[in-house]
Amino acid sequence: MNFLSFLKVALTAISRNRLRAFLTILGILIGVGAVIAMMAIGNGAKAKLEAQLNSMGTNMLFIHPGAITAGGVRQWGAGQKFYPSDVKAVRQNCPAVAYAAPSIEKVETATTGHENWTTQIIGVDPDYFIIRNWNVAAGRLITHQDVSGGALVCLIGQTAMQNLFGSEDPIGKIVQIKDVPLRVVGILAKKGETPFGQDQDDCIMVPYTTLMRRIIGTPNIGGLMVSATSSKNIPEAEAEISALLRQRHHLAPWQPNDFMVISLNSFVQMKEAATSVIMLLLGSVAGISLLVGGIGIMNIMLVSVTERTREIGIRMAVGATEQDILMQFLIESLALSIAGGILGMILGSAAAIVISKVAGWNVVISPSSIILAFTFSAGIGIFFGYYPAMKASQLDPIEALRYQ
Amino acid sequence: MSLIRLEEIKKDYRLDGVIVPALQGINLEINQGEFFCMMGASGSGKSTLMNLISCMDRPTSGKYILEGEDVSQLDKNALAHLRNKTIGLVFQNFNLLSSATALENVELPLLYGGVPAVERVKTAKQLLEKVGLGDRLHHYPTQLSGGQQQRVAIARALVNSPKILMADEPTGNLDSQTSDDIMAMLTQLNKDGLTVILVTHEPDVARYSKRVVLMKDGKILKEEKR
Ligand SMILES: Nc1ncnc2c1ncn2[C@@H]1O[C@H](COP(=O)(O)OP(=O)(O)OP(=O)(O)O)[C@@H](O)[C@H]1O
Ligand SMILES: [Mg+2]
Repeated sequence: MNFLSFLKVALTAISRNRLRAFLTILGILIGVGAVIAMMAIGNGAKAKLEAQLNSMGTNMLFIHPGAITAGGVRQWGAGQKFYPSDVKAVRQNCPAVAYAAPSIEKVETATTGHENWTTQIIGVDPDYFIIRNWNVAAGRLITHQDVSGGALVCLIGQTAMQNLFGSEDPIGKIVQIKDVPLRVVGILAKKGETPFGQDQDDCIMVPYTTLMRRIIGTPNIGGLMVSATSSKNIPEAEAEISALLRQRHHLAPWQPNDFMVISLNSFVQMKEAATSVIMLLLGSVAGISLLVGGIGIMNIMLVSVTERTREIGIRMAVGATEQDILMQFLIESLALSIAGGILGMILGSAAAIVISKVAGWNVVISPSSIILAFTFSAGIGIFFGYYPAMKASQLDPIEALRYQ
Repeated sequence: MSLIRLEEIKKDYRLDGVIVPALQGINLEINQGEFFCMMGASGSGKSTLMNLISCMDRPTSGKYILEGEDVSQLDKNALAHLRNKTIGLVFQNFNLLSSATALENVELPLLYGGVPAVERVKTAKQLLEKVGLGDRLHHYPTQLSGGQQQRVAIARALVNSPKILMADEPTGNLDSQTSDDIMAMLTQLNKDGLTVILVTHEPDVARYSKRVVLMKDGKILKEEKR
């Protein structure tokens, strides 16, 4: 007996009990739907995360004052302060570092005379734009001359620009921050959100020297922002910077670091860990419903075998072998589980599209997830259908024929 | 050479640890083309013997030679093959698949014989026409009378051109007129060369046979030739 004949017999048997068949495949349907949705959402979220990380800059490292323990109390950011000279030292002494810039920021209110807007004021030097892979949409960047002269110029992010100038062209106009008048020389290109939900376009950039001396009034910078020569060199850059700073801070070998070097990759890992928790959760929902679905199929197939004992006897009496009966029931459960799988794929894809629309990322329904879902449901059909099919094939023809 | 030879066939059933001897040493030869009939009281072992001859079951001991080959200890697959090709079975309660049409029921042995679909339908149609049901191909068993159902069953039993047709009380569920029709059909098939083995309680039915064996307590009590 060939496969098509088996399939026809199986489909006839299923179509005799449509409602029951549908209820049976519900578990598989939900399970496969969850797998598809989970993978699509996971891939979409990952793609978005990657795009956001690229917007922050590549191969980045942040250096901050570390925690020190004073009187048994650990104080974050209370370690040794950083100065512009540290940036210079890192540039000169760390071969694995491509670019280094001071990192100094302050939240202040900017005014244009008729509008006020509280925003992030970022102190920059030309390396900053390279590290962050950022350029202007109009106007010019902040130059070395601006930095060395402490020029009263600024670049404006697009969110801050909208709130301060509306639709007006801001270039050449004056923005006042703490009574310091700054001339807008450029509009920053749009960046979007960081993976942490911060609007990167809500900022005003000034030469870091201007920010230190004129706006904040401090001799030190908040920290350093550095890019490694390649992603492979990030650990090396980290080691070089640590060694250099320990030396500059005169730390004895037994003393812990009084600074922190954090790579962007560690943020990525954090973020990815959070996503994978969600994935794991969805995955277990999928797994459990697939398991329950499989048990449902097994249950219904056992009922079906009992109901059709006489039919099995008749088939055996006219020459069906054990193998024929086994195949008949196995294909029936396979047909059920694959039907559930296909419906689940449709449902899961629909759910993924809806969720992605809401969350605002691209749906990524990969062929591999379709193949995975398909093999999974087929596997479940075979695994959970095998025992009932085996039971059917082991029936004694005489007993089966006598069954009422 | 006889078509069927049974040597000291015994069959025991085991019920809650108690051994029930259903057949206690059957010796029998049936030749090609015979119309053989078994009679006997209820529980005398007729059905048990039929099940063994039709390869539905295996004897506890003894030898069963079918067409010169010992089939008494063949495996289940080989027995299924014999039921498919060599032996056709007809039952008292017809045993048709209720969810299948007359045509599909008759196709069944061809299906398990690996015959392609087109040929299957053609052969099954021919057989149904032969038993006078050419106009009932797509009827379901519930849409057919008892006599018609038994004719579908006979068509199914014959569709693979078996050597032997075995019928365990084929007229048990039919009225006397229909019984006569069915028996006439079996007689005609026998005349055309088919070996027929029959179990019955009714002397009227046994009349059609030239060789009647009477069974009692799992043994052959006597044999009558006409
Ligand atoms: N599966 C079984 N388990 C136990 N005992 C059985 C089984 N099948 C048959 N028997 C016993 O074997 C004996 C022969 O039974 P069998 O069915 O062959 O009788 P029979 O001659 O066909 O009777 P009837 O005319 O009523 O059909 C009986 O005593 C019966 O109880
Ligand atoms: Mg009987």
